[in-house]
Amino acid sequence: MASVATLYDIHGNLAALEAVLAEVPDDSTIVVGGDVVAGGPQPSETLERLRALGDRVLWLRGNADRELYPGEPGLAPPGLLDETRAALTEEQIEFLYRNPPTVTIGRTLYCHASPRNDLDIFTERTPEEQIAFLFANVDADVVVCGHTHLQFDRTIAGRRVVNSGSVGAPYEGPPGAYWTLDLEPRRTGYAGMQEPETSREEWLDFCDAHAVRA
Amino acid sequence: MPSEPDRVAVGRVGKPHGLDGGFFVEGASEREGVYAEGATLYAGGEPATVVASRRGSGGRPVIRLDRDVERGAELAVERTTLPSLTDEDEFYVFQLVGLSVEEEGGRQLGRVREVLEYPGNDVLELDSGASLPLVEACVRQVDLAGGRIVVAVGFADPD
Repeated sequence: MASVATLYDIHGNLAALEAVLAEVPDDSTIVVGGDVVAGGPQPSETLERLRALGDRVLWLRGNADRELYPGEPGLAPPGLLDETRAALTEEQIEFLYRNPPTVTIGRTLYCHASPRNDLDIFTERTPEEQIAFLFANVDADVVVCGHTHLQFDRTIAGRRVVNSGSVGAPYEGPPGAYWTLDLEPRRTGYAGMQEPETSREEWLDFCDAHAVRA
Repeated sequence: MPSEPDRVAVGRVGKPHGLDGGFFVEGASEREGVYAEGATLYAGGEPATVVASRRGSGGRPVIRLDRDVERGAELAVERTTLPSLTDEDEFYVFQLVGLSVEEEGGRQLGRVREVLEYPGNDVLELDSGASLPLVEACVRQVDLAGGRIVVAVGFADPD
């Protein structure tokens, strides 16, 4: 099969998405790994840009896509998603809400946060023994996730676990749009890219404090 | 009354809407006219007539029938009432269920047990447990006459 690009956590950043799409090979399958629009400057335009790619895109639902739907509990503080919600039609919110939690291609499982849910937090430095339970019974050789906006590639419970990074709002050192092509990490620069307000180290500390435990 | 195999599921009775007995249709068919006022639906196996029909949030059909129905009940129509599909890339779910699925090269993957409908793309669930996206990159050929679907290598578990 042709290559697979993973575009996670775009968060309504159309400029970042456009820069990445310019580098994705024309025949690639694109896995959009959730948190497509929330909190970003151009939620509707970002969603429609991706939908215009037709069935080249395989969609996953992230927590911030789910939490746009009325009454859904989650991580986003009250009010944070109101602006995004107001910029979308009911049909667009329904589309994001009804996407599946996982996609499987061959022996690779694509999920938003972890194989079990869209909320679990772990990073490159979360101790393996703390998070092995998430992967021990997963019927896949590779798991691709996102959610924490930090790219990594590590082994957990015998599985290769790749965090795709965030296209639209990474907490990385060098600014840019982070994604993968055939599981290889990519960073794409674009006009207007900015360093995050929270540094990488500060964000890793936050993730340590909130990391999932059995 | 036609026998069960002559009917095709077109949705399920979803959550109530309003106080007059109306409800959302879950997993609704996109076929025009299926839920139109005056149409006959089989709800829980027994015929009922659509007495009110409109679109609710997200474009989902909201309908009311001429009798009470239980939430979760299957909604079906007679197969003969469905229009023929003119686009060669369009299929009814019932046409795909039961087809054998093989990879290019001939490896047998199983039979279609169910078609899961998602907003981005549908997914073929096979009796072997495999899940395959119903997208052009994966599904290379649907051969209704031959009773088979051919998929690209790489989407199914190689084991």
